[in-house]
Amino acid sequence: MAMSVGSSVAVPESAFARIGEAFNPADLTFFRPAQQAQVAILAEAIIPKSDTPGAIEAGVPGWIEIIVKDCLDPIDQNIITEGLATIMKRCAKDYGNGLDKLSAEKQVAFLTAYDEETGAARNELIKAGKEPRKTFLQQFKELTKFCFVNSEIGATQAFNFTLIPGKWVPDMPLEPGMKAYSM
Amino acid sequence: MNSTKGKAEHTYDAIVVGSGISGGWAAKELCEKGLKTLVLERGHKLEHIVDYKTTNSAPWEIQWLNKPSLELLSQQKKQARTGYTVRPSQNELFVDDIDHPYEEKKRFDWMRGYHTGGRSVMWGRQSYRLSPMDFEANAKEGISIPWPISYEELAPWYSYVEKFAGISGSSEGLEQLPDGIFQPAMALTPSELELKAGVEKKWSTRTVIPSRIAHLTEPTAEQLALGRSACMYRNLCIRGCPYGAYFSSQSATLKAAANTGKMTLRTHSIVQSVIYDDKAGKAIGVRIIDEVTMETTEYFAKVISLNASTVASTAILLNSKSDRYQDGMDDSGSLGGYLMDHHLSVGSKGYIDTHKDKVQYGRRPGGFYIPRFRNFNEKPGKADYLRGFGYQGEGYRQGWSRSIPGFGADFKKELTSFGPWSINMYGFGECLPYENNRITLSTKNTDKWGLPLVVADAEFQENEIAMREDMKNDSAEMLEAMGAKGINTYHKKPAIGLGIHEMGTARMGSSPKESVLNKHNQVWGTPNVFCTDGAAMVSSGCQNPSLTYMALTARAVDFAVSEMKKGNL
Repeated sequence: MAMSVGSSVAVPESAFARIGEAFNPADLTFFRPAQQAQVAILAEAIIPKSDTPGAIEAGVPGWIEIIVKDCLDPIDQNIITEGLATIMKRCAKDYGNGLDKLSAEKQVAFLTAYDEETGAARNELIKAGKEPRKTFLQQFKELTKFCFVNSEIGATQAFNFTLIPGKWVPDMPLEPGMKAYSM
Repeated sequence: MNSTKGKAEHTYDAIVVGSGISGGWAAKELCEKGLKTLVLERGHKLEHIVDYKTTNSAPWEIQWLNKPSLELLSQQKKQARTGYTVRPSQNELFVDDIDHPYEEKKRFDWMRGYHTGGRSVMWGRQSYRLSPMDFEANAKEGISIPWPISYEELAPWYSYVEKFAGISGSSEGLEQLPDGIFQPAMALTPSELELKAGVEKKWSTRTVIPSRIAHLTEPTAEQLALGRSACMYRNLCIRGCPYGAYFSSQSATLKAAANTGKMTLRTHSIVQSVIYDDKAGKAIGVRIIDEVTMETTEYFAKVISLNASTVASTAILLNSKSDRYQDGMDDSGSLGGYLMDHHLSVGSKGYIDTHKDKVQYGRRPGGFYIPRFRNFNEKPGKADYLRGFGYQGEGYRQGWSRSIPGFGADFKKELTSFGPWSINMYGFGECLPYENNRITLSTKNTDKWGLPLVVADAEFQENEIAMREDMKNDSAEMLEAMGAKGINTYHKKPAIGLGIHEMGTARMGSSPKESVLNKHNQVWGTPNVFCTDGAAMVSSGCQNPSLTYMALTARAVDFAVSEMKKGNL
């Protein structure tokens, strides 16, 4: 915009510094390598590869780590790290094997049962008048979903990502197999 | 520190304090009428398009996929109270709360944007006229003081600003929500049409209409000439629009003002006070502090328009002390009082199982609107109260953010498919003007520029709380009337400020004994100082207020310039 501007010294035009690259592998400092592997296994079990990429191919584990590191408070961070260890141990106990070694059906059966069990325990606390945080698996599933939908591969391959729709149609015919919008 | 050297260089015909919704209008109107105008913006320069850094960013190009980090939240604790302002895509458009403190005797959610264009960059853009009923209510009910102007006096100015700003909407012939100059409306979706049918069948007193929103759908030659074009349905508006498709100071008024060659825009310019000259018996200019250098400077003009935003304009008036005005520019005691905001956080949502062969395409920036019916053509329902409320809402196919049970392949299949048509509505309730809902200046604490901190002491009171039962129940009943399923009603404690519709605190009126501004928005006793932002409001209506500020501003500038020509200012 052509405007005459009164004098003021040159300064950064915002109080906030530029934050840097959105995804930087150097930021993956929160989990130990063994935990990183567990995050990937669990995320892929929640959103597996099908005719479209799964969580691992979409880079979800790295995004989860960055978000857990910078966006979660210490209480939720602890729920994530402890929950990760607990769920893996429980899987080994119930199925005698690691989650990644189970068939897809068994993975789903295990996660569903574990979700119901831990969710029910949380509901008991709510009934008792407490305000518990969401369970580990509830939080991890939300994170997996959020990171998958908003990752480049997830958004553009498993969903329909359109930055500039260009028009508004309130009632377009929905063809079978149309992918949902990523935003 | 205090430099007044080069007085001629610092002298303009007019000074506008603030470059937001109303300041942009003041700048445009003053410049187009030939006045050499200085616009003072307290924040940094935000240039149209080039400074909208995230306007084309995909989620994966934004840190944390656009989740706020704990560090951002700690820097912007108050700005984060909306739940949506502090996201990496737009948090830079809201102030740093550490640098910009204020005091809360009671919780007050003050959302601010200190940059060129102010909150016109991030505003909600819904634009409704107040109605004759709204202008008459105070007088009829004996509440506060009457508006000194009628709807009929403001109506031509509504038309004037609508034509330039560009408002998409439909003419409905409603007495409680007068029609304006509209560009084609954005059509309703199937679930919204079901709501409309259900509501209008059950209640002859209620209607569901497309939102009236300051987006171009059929740009005029004048708008195209300013570089604006039609809405692209991205709904990334809050980041700044590269098409200039919605009205902002940058896309429209400041550009028009700049085109005249009459405007000087000075950023980093925090107005400390209006300079009142006791000998001349009028204001002669403003004193500013440079945000960066901390240097104090004075600028002079024949006419001064305060458009710093409701609370900030009042803070300037309170801080403008002279022999004539020892406690700020007011003789009535009303300055700082009667703060209003719309009360929100109550409504209902549900879904329908029909129309599954249809889906919306595009991300429409608005939705639907349900104009006020309580205390208009229906009596209050659950409790007795004055005034009423409207609803905004929208209905789309549910997406990935819905709750989806399960894990694995079936979960993924459901996640990547459309859910049912949702329907969601939320109320905007009128707030009465109360003397004790008040803004003052701290006598102890100052900010880093040495300015006294704003102290907020306000809350929603009995009338607002009484109204909320109807806001909740009526929303659920209207969803029931359309046959919605899974109706979920919510009612959270409302916080004043969260509507980001602060109004009042330097109200207009018919007498200097009871108001700060006269019917032309002139400060009583200082006719060359005008205030035409939300501070001037005498009552709040339940409609989104920015359009009214635009109309008041254009009207006041027209009056100011005619008075100048007559030699009266």
